[in-house]
Amino acid sequence: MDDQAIIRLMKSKPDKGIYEAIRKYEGVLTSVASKILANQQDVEECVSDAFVGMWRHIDNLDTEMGSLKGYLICSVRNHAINRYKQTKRSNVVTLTGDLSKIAMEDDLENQVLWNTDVHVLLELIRELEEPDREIMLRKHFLFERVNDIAAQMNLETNQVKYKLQRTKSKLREALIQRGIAI
Amino acid sequence: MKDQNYNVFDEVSVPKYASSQQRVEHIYQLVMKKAELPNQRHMRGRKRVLLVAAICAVGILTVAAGYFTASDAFRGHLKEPGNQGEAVELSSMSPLVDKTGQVLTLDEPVISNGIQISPRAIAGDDSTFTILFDIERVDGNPIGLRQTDGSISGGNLMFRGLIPATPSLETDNSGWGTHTLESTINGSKGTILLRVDTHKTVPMGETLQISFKELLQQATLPGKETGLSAGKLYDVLSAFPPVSDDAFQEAGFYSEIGGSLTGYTYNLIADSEVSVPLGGALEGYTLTNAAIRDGQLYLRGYAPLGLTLHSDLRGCALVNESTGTSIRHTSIAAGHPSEETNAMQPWGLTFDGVSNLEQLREYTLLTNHGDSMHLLAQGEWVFDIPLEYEKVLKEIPLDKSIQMGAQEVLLEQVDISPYKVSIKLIPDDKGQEALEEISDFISYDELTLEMRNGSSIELLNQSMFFDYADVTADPPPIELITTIYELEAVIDPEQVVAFTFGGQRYTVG
Repeated sequence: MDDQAIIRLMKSKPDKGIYEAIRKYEGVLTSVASKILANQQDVEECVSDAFVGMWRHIDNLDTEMGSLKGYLICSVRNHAINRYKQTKRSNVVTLTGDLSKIAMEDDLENQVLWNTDVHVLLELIRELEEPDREIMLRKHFLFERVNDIAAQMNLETNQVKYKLQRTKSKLREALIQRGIAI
Repeated sequence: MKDQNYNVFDEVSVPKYASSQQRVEHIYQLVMKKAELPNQRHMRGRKRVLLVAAICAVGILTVAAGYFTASDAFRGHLKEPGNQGEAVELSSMSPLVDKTGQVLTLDEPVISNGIQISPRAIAGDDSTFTILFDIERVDGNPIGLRQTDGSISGGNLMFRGLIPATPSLETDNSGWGTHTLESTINGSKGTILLRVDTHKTVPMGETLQISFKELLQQATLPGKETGLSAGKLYDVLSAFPPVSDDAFQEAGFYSEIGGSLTGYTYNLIADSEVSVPLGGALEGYTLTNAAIRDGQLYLRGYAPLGLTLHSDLRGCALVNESTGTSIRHTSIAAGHPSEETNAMQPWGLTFDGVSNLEQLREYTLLTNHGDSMHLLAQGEWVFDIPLEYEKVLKEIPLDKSIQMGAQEVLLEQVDISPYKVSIKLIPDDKGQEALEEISDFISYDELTLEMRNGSSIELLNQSMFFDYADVTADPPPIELITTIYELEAVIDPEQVVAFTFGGQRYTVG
């Protein structure tokens, strides 16, 4: 079932629309949330929160928006980041392998990207040229590792690292121009 | 939220966590639980969800809300192919049915004349739809007819006055075919599995409207088969008393053709004449203008009670299509029934014709009792069903010229979906006689599908649709024949490796 059909169904029969959305996107959202959170229960909470958020915004969901996938990925990313920050503060988080990597790479730009409003960030990423755009999405929304991004996109690991560094600098400048303090 | 920026993810393939049905349902339960939390901003949507939950709890619409997936809803009704190709029960995991079907929910139950009818689920493609309806007498009394001995009839349920349509496309409802695949009755509840076919495709996302006005029960009495020697075809009907004024009886015979017709692969009986010499009306009477296949002749006719059926086959000819030779019957040799012995007087069956009875080794006269249609409820049930499942269709363009009897036909395309095979044919001769010959050929020609696991599925034609080039012409020239083969089991079209049609085998790439 395509996104527009799911959105229409959500508006006419919410329970069925939610179910269809879960069937289609649960795997993707779990994949994203699992890159940030180690606890499976936390992952399920974030994934379900993303779907609940979608249902609560049913009246604003626009079929012209086109990408339910993008909306849900951004939503689960936000939920997972927030939960990660909460658990980090309470010192009960267990780092997964992926998260350890993320933490190690958690430089200033990453902090900025994590804390920047998702709409602003997406707008800036949208203006990037390929393959920089896809690299940024994979790194900062899907939380894929550099090695995996390189493999997925048929690039050298060093190329990916270089492009990430360069793009993050560009984004930093763009954020400053928009008056966003870093 | 009109943020077009979300589209940036469209081109990015996202790795999926290996999910499972259990996990999907677990997340669904979590979401539903959270969605019921008070939230004034979204009361409208929340009420809807709560309504469904409440209905589910009191069991009014359990059929609609109690199933998570289409395969759940259709389990016990749809079949799937087993290892040997035979149809077996739908397994617990049927991704194909889930993909090509959907569970249906109603905001409100549709009740008319004490009968509630609810569509539970739909599955199909863009021109074939299988819909499962649940039926319930809301007063809790048995839904079936009470018979004279006090028992409740378990006969078949069916709809009458059924109209499928796609209102938004403004198409008429001609060219639609509907029939009941199965029905069950259990106390105050019943189900009907309805099949709807059209050769006009309905785009996914459109709304299919199904409406009907009468729920009927066809009471079935036990039939009887009697083996008879040649020429004595009659008094067997006497065992079945009439069950109602509008009942009809069916009579027919099978016969095996003797050795002199061996090798006849496709023969026609033509020029049959049917009449009711006692002056009764011919209403409801048909005699199949049957073909002989594999040495077996099959004729069938039915008529209202109280009429004498007279089948005059003296003008019939058995024609060998391959050699052009024919055998024509020119004299009457069959006897007549003794109407005095017929308890259903004045019903009787007179069979005149087929002079050379020695050619017919064995007769078996089949009698089907009077199937009686009883009205259970009248009303107006209308259901708008948005087609929100995924169309799975393997389209095989061929454009090959083939021979069907004496007719040359272009085999244009074969479409295989999980639920049917449809074949598009363009006849070289657009006339009505050619059309009849092609139709007869198709009616008795088997379509065989060969599956990847080595099993095969043999199918007989279920229905044919005709497109005319100019409907104002008399007779209108035929443009396209679409012939439909219904699948007993839901198949994966990708598993079909070859098919045989019209005696020619085609491999599927």
